[in-house]
Amino acid sequence: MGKFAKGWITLALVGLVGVVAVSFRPGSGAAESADTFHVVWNDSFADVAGLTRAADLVIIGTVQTSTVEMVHDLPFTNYVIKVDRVISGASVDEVTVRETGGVVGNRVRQADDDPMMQSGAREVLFLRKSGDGNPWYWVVGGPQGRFHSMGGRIQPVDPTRSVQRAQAGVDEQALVDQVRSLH
Amino acid sequence: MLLCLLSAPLVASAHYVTFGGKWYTNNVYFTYTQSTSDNYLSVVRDSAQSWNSTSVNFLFYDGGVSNAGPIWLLDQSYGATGWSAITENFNSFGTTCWACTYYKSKIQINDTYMLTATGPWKHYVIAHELGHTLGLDHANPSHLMSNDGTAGTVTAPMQHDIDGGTSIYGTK
Repeated sequence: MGKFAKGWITLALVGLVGVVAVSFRPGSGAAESADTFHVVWNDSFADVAGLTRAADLVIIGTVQTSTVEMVHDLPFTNYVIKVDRVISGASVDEVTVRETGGVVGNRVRQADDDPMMQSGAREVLFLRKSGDGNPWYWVVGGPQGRFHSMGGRIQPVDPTRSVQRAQAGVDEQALVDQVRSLH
Repeated sequence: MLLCLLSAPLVASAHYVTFGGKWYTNNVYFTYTQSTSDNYLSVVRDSAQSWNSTSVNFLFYDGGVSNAGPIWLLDQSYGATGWSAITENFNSFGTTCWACTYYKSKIQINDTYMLTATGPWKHYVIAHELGHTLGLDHANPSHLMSNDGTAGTVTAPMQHDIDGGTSIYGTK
């Protein structure tokens, strides 16, 4: 067998071993663009009325900057939100909202049902004060109290939740009116 | 093609959903910090036993206070995050994954809520998280692995949860 043929055979074997190794590598699960963890949320909200009752502040805002802080090996992200509109609560121009998860190194760690907020995104947020002296707010019920607003329409963050699905496609102003009618 | 088949992430039935992964063995021990032992040991043991007493061919063993267990529980005060506990599963490289072979799990308990929670809620949370370590995803309607409305009304695996577990590990 000539050198040329041996070279091709060697190359083919190396390639085959490589394919097999990759195929059987544990953790090669598809679509894991982020490292997800699974969460038990304390509260389960049936409707917008429940979210409103639990919130200290309801706003429409745009995500500006974010900073990540590690707490006992778990990332938390503080977002500065420019308040476009206060729906319920005291008038503010800007708030800090804290979310569990964040970018660590070159990987995102986040709850499977509560994806990290994106810079520039317009969100409807039902917010609760931290209650422990910290200056930030938490979103009520994790993913339940956050809705995307795109082109004037509401989009759920977590469509598996009934409280979120119920608002899918609703006009942003209709959601504002719904919250205000509860006061 | 082979990659696609091996990486199929979810297996769903009418009442349970699996991540598409499982432990490399059917016998796994859990360990915990001293604080977790002080605060939640009876709940953790009860919750493990609630799975062990089912027909799912898998056993949780108590490995005592250590951080070396394949399943490791720890508790901290994380603040008013809105969650009681979170779970991550890892492959042999220590990378978080769900549709893979599991070599480690970590359950983090939020003392901010759990220290003062009711007994049923504590049992629901820990048994639910142990269900995730087995490879079970959230599924509704109401049973242990539900995340929409169950809220402490279920404290141990129900038939749909057991069906999910046996679909992964077989029947004893």
